[in-house]
Amino acid sequence: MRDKKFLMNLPSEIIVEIFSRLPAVTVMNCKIVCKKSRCLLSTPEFAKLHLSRSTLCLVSFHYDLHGRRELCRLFEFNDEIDHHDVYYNPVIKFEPSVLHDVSGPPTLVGSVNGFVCFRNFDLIKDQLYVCNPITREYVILPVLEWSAVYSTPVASGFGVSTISDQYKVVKFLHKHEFYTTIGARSKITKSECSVYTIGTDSWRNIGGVPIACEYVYSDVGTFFNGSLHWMIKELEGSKLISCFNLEEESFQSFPTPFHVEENKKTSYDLGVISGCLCLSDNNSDFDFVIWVMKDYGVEKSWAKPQLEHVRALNIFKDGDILLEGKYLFSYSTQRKSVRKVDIIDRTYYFIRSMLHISSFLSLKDLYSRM
Amino acid sequence: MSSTEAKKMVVLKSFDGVTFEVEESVAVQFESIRHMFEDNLAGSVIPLSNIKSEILSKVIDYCKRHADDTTDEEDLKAFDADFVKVEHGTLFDIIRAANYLNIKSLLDLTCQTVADMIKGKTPAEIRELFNISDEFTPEEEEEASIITRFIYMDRYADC
Repeated sequence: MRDKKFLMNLPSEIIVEIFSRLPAVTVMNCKIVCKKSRCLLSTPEFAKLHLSRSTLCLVSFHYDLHGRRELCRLFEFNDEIDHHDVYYNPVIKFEPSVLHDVSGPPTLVGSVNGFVCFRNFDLIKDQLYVCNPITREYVILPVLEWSAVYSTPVASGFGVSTISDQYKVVKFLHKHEFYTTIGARSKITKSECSVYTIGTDSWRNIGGVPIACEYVYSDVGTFFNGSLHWMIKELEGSKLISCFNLEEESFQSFPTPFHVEENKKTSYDLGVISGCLCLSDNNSDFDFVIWVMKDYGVEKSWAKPQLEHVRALNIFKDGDILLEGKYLFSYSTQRKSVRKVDIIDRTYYFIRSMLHISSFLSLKDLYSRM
Repeated sequence: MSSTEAKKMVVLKSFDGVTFEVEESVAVQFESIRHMFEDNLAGSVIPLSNIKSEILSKVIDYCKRHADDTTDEEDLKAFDADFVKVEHGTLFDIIRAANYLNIKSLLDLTCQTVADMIKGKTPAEIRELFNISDEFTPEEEEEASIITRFIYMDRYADC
């Protein structure tokens, strides 16, 4: 009998149980401890168990103003009842430009169960990528071909269906009556929606959006509760939150929790904090309001020190709120003050951040089960 | 059950032949052998052929403390923290016993303890901590280590 102290002599299910409680980076280290650990930690079952215990972190895309380098970084939270920290984990950073055909700053479309979806577009191409920064797998989505000439891609989103567990990317197009010769667009006739399920070969056009609307406020959908959400403007004028259920591939909408005045400069952003859909209202010069959807109107407002655009990302257990503006900020509800979360050097600008979970879910498995 | 009534006892016998008399209210935490004493096998000895007496006595201690409603949460936390301050070999034996007897809270506590020891460590540190012999060549380690290259998943290739 081998040395009893040998951790790897424990029954396999216990080794898996122990390792599933570790942060992703330590799991990667455990994988190279010995052949048995590598084998046990590479299964889809382990990926699922680890995901069920993973804690939230932040995935962030930003670019360097001087060298034009784009970076994708992960920030971890140390979230305790009496304090919190946000710290940068250098192991998992990558430059999107190492991926095939990425040029210029990509935009973050969504983060679900460890998979990150981002868009890379310029005058000649518009490509979507899904990657797992932990397993380092990525896939380039097929190019969405649209039949009508007078179309503009306007909004996209990434999420997972609740029952069938299918990862889907959704894209909306505005259809116009015609283009003028100088390129100015005419009025929108309708919005069309296409869905790509990860693991399949092509996009499916699921037809028009039931409400004649414009996706004017948010180009990126907020994934929450099995649906993607966008703030939209009906063509007749009223603002709504439109949600697209990824399981049924159906639309629903509900009104915003406040009255939006016409002719007012409008700036809103949807997000998810503390397990509720929320809407950050950035319209005032002096303060901003986060509306939490839970009971339509939990209002919080505070003085705003020259913030141009703010989105709520997370509420920590100590009550502080993590916000994204030009930088990351944390607002202390106790001290009523805002503090810059200094986790990044000054030469980088944030493009966008999202809550993220590090996982070992494999893209390969999504393709092989289809 | 009133306090005057004799408490129902269960007799457990360890691998090395030591018998332990345990109140049924404590023994109910042993999920996997619960049916044996609940099926009215009163008085008969339940053999636990893969648990040493030293470990079984610790496990019974743990269950006694956790069956006691009068212990407050703070004390229980302190007890748990103390309980896992043992040698690795003992800790692994307790894990095996908790797994065999299916005592969920004890399994949780001990697995978390081991996970906390591993957290943040390098592969070499983990190997040293648990006396694991290095089975990888440097080339294999390089290949298996945190991959720097991205793997392109060709949608049209057979995955």
